[in-house]
Amino acid sequence: MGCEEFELLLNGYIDGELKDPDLKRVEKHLAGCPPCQKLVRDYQRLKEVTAEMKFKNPPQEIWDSYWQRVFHRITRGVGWVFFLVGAVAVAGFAVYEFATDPAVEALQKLIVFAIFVGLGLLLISVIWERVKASKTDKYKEIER
Amino acid sequence: MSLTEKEIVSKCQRGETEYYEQLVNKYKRSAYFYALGMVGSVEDALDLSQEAFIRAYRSIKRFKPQYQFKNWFFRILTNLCISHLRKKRRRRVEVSTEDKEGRTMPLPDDHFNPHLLLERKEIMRQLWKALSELGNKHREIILLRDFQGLSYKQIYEILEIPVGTVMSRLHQARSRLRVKMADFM
Ligand SMILES: [Zn+2]
Repeated sequence: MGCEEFELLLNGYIDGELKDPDLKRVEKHLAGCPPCQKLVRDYQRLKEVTAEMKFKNPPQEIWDSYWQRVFHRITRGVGWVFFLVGAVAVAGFAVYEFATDPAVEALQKLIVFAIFVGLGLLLISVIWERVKASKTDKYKEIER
Repeated sequence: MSLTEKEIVSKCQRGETEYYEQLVNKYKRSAYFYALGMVGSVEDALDLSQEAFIRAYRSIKRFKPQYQFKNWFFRILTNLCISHLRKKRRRRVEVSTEDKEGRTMPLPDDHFNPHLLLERKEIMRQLWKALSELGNKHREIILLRDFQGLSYKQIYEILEIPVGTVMSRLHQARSRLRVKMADFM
C-alpha cells in the first residue's frame, strides 16, 4: 500500500475525526512509515500556529456599541416600512379631500393628480429596483 | 434565571427583539474575527459581521431548531464574506488587466496587512501571508476548522458539503499551506 492512499486520512486523523477501521489502518501505517510521521508532525504544527493566530482586539468601544449598531440597523428597516405606509395613507387622504373639494377647478385637479401619479410611479420603480437587487443578491449567496 | 439558546432563539422568532442581544453578544467576537480572517480588513469585518446578524434576524423565522444557531449564522456570515470578496475582485479586475488564468490575485495593500492586524510574531505573519494567498474555499475551511476549532459535522452544516468533502478540501488546503510554510517546518 502506498502513502498517497493515507494522505487524505491523515487529515481526519490529526483532527480526531477518524473511526475504525480507518483509524486502525492509519495507526498501523504510521507506525512503520517515517515520511508520513513527518507529514503528521507538519500538519499538527500548522494547526497549532493557526489556532494560536491572534488578531489585535479592536478598542473596547467597538464591542460596547456593537449591539446598539445592529439594533439600530434592524429597527431602521422597520421604521422605513412604517414611514412609507404612513406617508402613502396621508397622501391618499389629501388627494381624496382635494379631488372632492367643489371649490377647486377640474384643470387644477388634473395637474395635481398628474403630479401624484408621477410620484407614485417613481416610488414603485425604486421599490422594484430594490426587490430585484435583493433577489440577485440572494441568488449569489446560494450559487456557491 | 438564564434561558437556553433554543429558548432565546424561539423568543426571537416570536418577535421579541430584546432577546436577540444575548445571541449577538455571545457570537460577536467569533463572528468578527472569523470575518477578519476571511476578508482581512478591520472595517469590512465589522460591517460584514453586523450585516450577518441583521440578515440572520430578518430570516430567523426560517431557522429550523434542529440546527445550532451558530452554524446557521456562520453560514450566512460565510456567504456574505465570499460575495464581498467576489465583488471586490470584480472591481479590481475592472481596474487592472493583469489577471492571469484565474489565479488568486493579491488583495489591495490595506487588506491582509499583518502589521495592522496581527500580534508581532514572524511565524504568524508568514502563516497569515500564506492564508491570504489561498483561494477563498481553502481559506474558509482552514479558518473554520483550525482557527474556530469546529468539527467536521459543524463545518458540514455551515458549508453544506459532505463530511468526505470537508476532509478532502482540508487536505488540499493544508498541503498548499505546508508548501508555503516550508521554511518554518
Ligand atoms: Zn506513509
